[in-house]
Amino acid sequence: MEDRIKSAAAELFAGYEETPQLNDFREEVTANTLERARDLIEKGMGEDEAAAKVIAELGDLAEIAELAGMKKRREIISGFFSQNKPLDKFHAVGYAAVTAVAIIGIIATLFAWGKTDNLGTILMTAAPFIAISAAAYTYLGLTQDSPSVYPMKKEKGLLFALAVGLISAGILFGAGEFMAGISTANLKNYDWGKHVKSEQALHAGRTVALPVVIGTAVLIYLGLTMEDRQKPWFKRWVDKELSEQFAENEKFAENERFGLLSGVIWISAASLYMFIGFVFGAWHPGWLVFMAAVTAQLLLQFATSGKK
Amino acid sequence: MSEEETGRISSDLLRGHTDTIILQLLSKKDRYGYEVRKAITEKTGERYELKEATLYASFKRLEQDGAIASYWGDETRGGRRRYYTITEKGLDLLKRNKIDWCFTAKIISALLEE
Repeated sequence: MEDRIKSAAAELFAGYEETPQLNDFREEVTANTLERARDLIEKGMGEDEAAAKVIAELGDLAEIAELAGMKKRREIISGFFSQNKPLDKFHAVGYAAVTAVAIIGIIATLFAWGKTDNLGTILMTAAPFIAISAAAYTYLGLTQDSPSVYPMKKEKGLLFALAVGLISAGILFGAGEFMAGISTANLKNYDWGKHVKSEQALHAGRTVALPVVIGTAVLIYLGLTMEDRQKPWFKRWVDKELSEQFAENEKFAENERFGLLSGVIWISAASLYMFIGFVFGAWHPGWLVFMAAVTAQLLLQFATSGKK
Repeated sequence: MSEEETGRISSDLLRGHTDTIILQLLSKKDRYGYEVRKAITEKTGERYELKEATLYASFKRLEQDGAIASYWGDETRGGRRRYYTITEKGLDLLKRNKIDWCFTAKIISALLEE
């Protein structure tokens, strides 16, 4: 029954060029129609009869496609990706606000730069602005309804934003602490060897460690619970058009998970390297962390390819 | 309304007020298409069924006018539902339409009085 209704809905809009709006409309109609059919069956109607009834009711919907301005349009296929739907109020206001915060941050940082040559102060001025806008951009981007992907759930988007905010804040504030008191003028002949072993570097390392570890843990959790947000039409399109050339592209969620976990591996490796270096001064054997990261990456590749 | 159990609903008249009826339903809570349709069927004691085309046309019109907005639900099983929510503008429109309707009903009743 489901397949019959789905193909009937697809047929209904077959005469129209696929636009994001049309795709969304078809998914909306399909979901509502399926639910109506299920209700009819629950009330005692036979499957075939219910399917026939709801499909018959769909008949006059083609008019709406025209009414809604979804008339056949000549557009290249790449239009799908570049053509975004109009932003909803929340996202429009949100993007504007975040951009304003970022611009204020840039101005404040430049201002600090003009006032002082203390690198730490300059970094600390930029840090909150960068961390906040990075987190907010992440949230807005993930929760936005795009032509090909459904918006992420609000709670998950918030967690993502939190992770991004924590990691960037940790790194930036840590860097600011590390650079505190160092003048932009004598960067070149500064005794870095002595500085990395100082108490100050140790404190900076601690500032970096906690938020980055928590943020990374959140990212790992999100990576493991990633769900498929691809829209049905896009999935079909990918299946049809790309299955031969890029067989791997079919599994969107799996790829997203793979990308995220890879990111986690390298962020962890980099922060661990810095931690070992700054806190214990062990830069030399510390680089072995990256060898471990390469191994982890290969294992991840093996694990994900093994699933298919 | 119970006194007129034998009466029939004028579909033409009702269709002219689809937008207002939908706005009224959305002013209580966010709903998706089929939910709105079901609510109308239930509220009228199954005496009136809204056509799909009328429903979606109304949604599109109201959304274009900024009286309602829509968003995707969280369902991952089955199809995703598209929910509609009323905006400030929609609430104003609803209020005005209700006043207009009461006025119109009064006038027509007065004209049809014997």
